[in-house]
Amino acid sequence: MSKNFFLVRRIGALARLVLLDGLRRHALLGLIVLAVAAQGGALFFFDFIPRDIGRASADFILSMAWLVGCIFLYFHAVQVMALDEERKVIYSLLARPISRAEYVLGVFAGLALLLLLLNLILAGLGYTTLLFIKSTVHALYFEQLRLASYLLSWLGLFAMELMLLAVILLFSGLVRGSFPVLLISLAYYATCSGLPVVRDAVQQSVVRGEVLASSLLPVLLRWLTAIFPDFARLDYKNMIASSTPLPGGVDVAVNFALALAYVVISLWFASLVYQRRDLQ
Amino acid sequence: MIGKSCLFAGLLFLYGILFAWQENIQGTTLSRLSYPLPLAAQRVALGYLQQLGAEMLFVKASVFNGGLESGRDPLDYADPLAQHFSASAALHPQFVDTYFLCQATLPYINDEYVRKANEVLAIGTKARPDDFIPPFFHGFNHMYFLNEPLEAARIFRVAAARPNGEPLAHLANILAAEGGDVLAALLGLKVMRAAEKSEEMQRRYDTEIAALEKAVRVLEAITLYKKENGVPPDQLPDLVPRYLESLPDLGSIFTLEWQASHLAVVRKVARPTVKR
Repeated sequence: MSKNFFLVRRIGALARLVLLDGLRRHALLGLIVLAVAAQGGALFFFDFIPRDIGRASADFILSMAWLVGCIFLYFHAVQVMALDEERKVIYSLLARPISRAEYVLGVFAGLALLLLLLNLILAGLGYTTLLFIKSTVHALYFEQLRLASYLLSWLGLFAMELMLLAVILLFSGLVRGSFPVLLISLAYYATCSGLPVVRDAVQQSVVRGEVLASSLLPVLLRWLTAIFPDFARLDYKNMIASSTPLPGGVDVAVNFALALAYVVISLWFASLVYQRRDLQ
Repeated sequence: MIGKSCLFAGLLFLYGILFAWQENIQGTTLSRLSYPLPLAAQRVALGYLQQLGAEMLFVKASVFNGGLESGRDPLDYADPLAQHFSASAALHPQFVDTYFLCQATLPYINDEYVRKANEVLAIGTKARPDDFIPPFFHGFNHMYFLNEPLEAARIFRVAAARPNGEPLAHLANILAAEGGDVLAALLGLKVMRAAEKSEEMQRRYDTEIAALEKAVRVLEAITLYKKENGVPPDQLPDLVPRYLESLPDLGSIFTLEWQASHLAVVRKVARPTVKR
């Protein structure tokens, strides 16, 4: 048996523990119940929309999924990391022949699996809801429901959640206690949402000639986006119910490759932090 | 124990009284539409939920508009309403309902809000390149509310180039002629005539083209007058007989008007009065 095989087995075993712990704590079931209730709300919400029913319903479904995903990340994922330390679970895990890097990867894999499971169920429920809504309204108000765009939107959503999860793991290594990690993670997300707004404002100043395009500020903001990514680039939900052509394959590939690289780098840093961290 | 129960029942009764009082106060005050948060703040706060946020703003504006008391002064709520539409269009420019509700409400308030509606509709025109509705509304506002036929013609041409918007090309040409751009209108009508298959429509275009060709001759006479006299004529009859034998009769559809130093070819049907 190769060394890599055992490494994957160790990570897989820990991931399984995290997954089962999540199921045992009803993280998945509770969120699914919440999401089903929220998606049921879509059936009432579209009553307020006179024309663009398809678009509004798709937005609603994906937005609810994002909210549920955020609850998972900010409450369950943050707590899992903190409780491991607070309940001293991490000692018994690290007493096994498992390195700290493998611990980080195992927890990430377990939480990512839970997240994947959650998204798969919600995507199925959401698609059924959209099909139902489409069947109840005139074709003019819900012109199309494109499966490819729908799947791409969910993939984008899942990629965003994985990026946040990786960053939460990094913060959990850097800061002790679940509440500070929650606050820092929220601040990180607010920065990610705010940075494109600031960039737009600066770009308008550049267009008006008030700021030089080559000056420090626009360049700094551009590179800050590498640290605080613009999640809107993975937001494809606007295409689900419209005839807007799908983005080019290269664009999509670059966006997802960047998200993957971001996750890998964040986990790498998290592993380094955990390796150097005093767990006492 | 009995004393505590009585106290609790009393508290419940007091709560019920206060609640009924509050409901009564709310029921008698006029419904109010609060201002939305600044756009930048909404974009930061909403993140991935921007589209849903825009739809919520629309629903809020829609519910408020549906519950308006009759006879209420529109200027009481015009500004927050306009800001709801601006924010909704900026957050989710592809969402079409914003443009329908905006068009159904703002332009009927006053000319200032016609222009605000047009700013919102310009966002929709850009964001929905295959939809002729936003530029149609935009052009209509210039034509009907603002009496700016040339601008209306320019925007109707944008709408006409979009799927299902072709019939607006005719209106764009007629408005161009009304705004004084007679040559462009004539060219546009000739292009439409060449592409038209219906004989009835061909006859209609022929009549309009013949009228505009007569107007072009008047236009040439005005140019010559201006060249020789340095100023345009005060009135069209000044062109007769030196520059024109007589002022042409444009037929049953159009008539000539000399408006603020430009020649307008105006439809004979009475212009509808703006209803507000």
